Amino acid sequence: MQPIHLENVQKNYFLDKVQVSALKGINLRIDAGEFTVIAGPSGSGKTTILNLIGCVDTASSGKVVVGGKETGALTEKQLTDLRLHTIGFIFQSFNLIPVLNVVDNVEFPLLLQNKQSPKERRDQVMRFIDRVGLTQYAQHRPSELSGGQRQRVAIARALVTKPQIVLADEPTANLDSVTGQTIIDLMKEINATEKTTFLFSTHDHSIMNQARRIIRLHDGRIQE
Amino acid sequence: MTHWMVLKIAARNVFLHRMRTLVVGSILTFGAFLAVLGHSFVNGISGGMESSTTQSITGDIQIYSESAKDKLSVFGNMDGSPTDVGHVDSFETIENALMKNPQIVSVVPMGTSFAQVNPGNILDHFLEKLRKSYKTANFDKNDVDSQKRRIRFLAQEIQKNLEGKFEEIGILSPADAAQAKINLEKVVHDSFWSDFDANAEDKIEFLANKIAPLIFDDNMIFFSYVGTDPQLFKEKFPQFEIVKGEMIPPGTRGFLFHDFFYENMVKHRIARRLDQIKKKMKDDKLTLAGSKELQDQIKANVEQSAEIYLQLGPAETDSVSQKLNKLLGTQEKDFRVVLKNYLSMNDQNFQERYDFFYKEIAPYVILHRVQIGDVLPLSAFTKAGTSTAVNIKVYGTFRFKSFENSPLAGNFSVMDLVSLRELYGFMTDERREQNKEIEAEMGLDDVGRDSIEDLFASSAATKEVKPKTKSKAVDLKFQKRVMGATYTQEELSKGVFLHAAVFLKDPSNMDRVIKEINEMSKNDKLGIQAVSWQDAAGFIGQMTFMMKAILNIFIGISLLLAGLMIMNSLLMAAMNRKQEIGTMRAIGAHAQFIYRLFFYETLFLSVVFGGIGVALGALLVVILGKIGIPASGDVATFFFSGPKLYLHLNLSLIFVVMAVMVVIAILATQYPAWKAMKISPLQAMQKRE
Repeated sequence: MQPIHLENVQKNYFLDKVQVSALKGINLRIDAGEFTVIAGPSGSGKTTILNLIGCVDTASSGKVVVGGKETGALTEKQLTDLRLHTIGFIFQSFNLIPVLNVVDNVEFPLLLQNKQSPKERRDQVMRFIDRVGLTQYAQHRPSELSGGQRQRVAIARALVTKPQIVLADEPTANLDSVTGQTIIDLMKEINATEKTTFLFSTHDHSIMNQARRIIRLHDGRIQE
Repeated sequence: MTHWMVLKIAARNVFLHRMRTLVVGSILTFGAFLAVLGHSFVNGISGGMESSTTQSITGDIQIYSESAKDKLSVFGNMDGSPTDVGHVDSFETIENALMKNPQIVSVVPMGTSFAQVNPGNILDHFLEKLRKSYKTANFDKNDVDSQKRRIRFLAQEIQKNLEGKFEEIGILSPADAAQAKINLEKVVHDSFWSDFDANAEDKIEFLANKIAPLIFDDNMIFFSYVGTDPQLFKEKFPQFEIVKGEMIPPGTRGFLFHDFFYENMVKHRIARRLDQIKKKMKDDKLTLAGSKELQDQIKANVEQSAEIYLQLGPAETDSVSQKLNKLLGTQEKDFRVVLKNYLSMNDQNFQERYDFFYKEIAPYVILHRVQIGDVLPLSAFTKAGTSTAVNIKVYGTFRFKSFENSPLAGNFSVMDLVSLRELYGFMTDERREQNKEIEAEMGLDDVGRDSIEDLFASSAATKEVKPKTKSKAVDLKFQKRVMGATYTQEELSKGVFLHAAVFLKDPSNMDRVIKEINEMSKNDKLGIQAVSWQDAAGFIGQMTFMMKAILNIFIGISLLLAGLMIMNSLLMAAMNRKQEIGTMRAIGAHAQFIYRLFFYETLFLSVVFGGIGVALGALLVVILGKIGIPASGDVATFFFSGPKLYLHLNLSLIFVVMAVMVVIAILATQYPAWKAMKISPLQAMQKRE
């Protein structure tokens, strides 16, 4: 995996005609295999950094390089493809597709990639479902799963395409502490075995301390 | 393979978002149902009106003179005035030319116009009957005496009726009013009747000229008619059937009333009103208490009760008076009073009194001003403005089956074409012969005019007409020149006609045949033009077109509204699924994926719910095709071509409606899908509370 670079990145928003600077000159490098937390209070810019790295948003100025490509120079289609092949997302609210069961949800990004035969795809999906310990729930819909189970499905979905990087925006915020810890343990395990880079945001100190690297943000700037 | 995933998500979304599915599905179902039912109904009515028109007067195509001043409208103009379509010289020539076209099966010559007749009032009727009796050799004296008594009684009633009102009437000048009083006094006196037999003609003449006009009522009957070959007309318009009397015999001059007209315009006014009240109470569910229109009819009956009592002789008056008093539970001696009381009907007693009228009163009154078998003195104005007249026998009444109660199906009567020609002002062989007779009687030279119009209307007439010899005055009394009873088929075929109905083997070829006829006329200089039945039907034909257009517009507006409601519903659904859509985009789904998702969802909805709507609509059409939709009145009867409209299911309509529903749904999807495509992956990052 090529490192992720942010060079002097600024991001501004307009809130009712008032310009707000969410990021004020961020310089950051993330290498392969890192298990990194972006920490900071609400409004510090954690989600904004994840959005820029996740190619769902573009910087107002500066350079963001993901997968060896400067995202500011890419079209909407190219960004989408970059997300599909390079990045996995784990959302705070799980964001599973409600009408699909566990298998279908996990299979979804593989279908979008359209690189494998149906059998290969199914085998891979079942492997990851098994990996997150949900084999017996494979045919269940999200509404039939607990919060922790749903987040595990989200993790399987994020990992099934074997992305270079997995971005998780406060992945344990909607879970109890025990379940949350289970999720973090799973992420650590995959990070260790698959060497997948994990970059997640949290303001939970107990979670923060389990990361190998912490990037602290305050008021749109990285605290040294 | 993403197609399969999209379909799966789309199909499952339909079931997951039940409210949205229900709203959109209901709109689609209703829209499809309405489209199928509406179109079947429109087609049914259109077909009904076509049948009503083509099977009663127009045929499939109408032909008429290419140099006609007006466009042909067989039902006349909207203001009731006839159209001036000129004439075509020889029917035989045109028929022979047209029959060369293998699509044409027959041609029926005709001409529609308007005429009037004054059949006389009841006294005229009684006097005519008495006159005939006197002309009969060995007439029955008792019968004649009875008739005289009735006429005398009638004269007394007229005198009573007009007492104190002569000057008020306003029709008579004071001098005439004074003379009328004297005349009435004379005829009610014994001295008038004592020598009646010896001076019957003069007495009858006096009564006809001096007393009959004192019955002031509107006697003139105006009507439209079609002059045609009656036998061919009956054969080619299969809905035609005789109701009263008999068909005009072949080759015979004659007249048939349209039965609807006969019952509504020729019938005794009180009887007519009672029939109309009964019909409205039955068809429109009106009540006498609740309807001003019906109350006015009752009031008119009471005011015009003279129409009954003037017709009853003394014995009949006593008999009916007794029965009326029994019915009403009164002992009123004055017949006029008890009659007025009887005619003041209400909802509770109407049916009983209606039945009483036909059982006890109708047998004694002249129920129709013109009787079957009468000879009618028809008159009309030619297009040059001259008046012409023919005397013609009434053979009976007819109607068109299926729409016998509809005046719109042609409130016109039928007569032979030869008589039409006379009324229109064309010279017929018989008239030519008769003129020669008159000229011979009066010692006149034949002025050599071939057209009656030319004879009387031409301002270029220069030859002074002088009798050759002194001739006695022609005795025209009692010499009604009833035109000869017969004509030859040759005379009918060779003479002029105003327009003609053309019947086709296959009516769907109408447009093509019209074109062929017009081309042939141009090439062979036939001088005719062909138009569709719809054009020939004038404003009624336009009604068909307008009704179809209005109904289609209504269906179109309904479908447009349906589309807008669907779009709104889908838009709301899209906005409620921002996070789901954002997630898909974040994971790597392109905007096109999102579009396809919405497309398939809507396609699924439109096919399933549109299909349900189409099925329900088709089912109802099939059911209505079996049981029929009853016509609620005369106008509906015409539109339905009968008492009921039977719908027919057109299978291609099902496919068309399905396609339209799918198109509407897909069009309605475009804006919501576009909005959904614009949803950014950022939406996925928004945290739920």
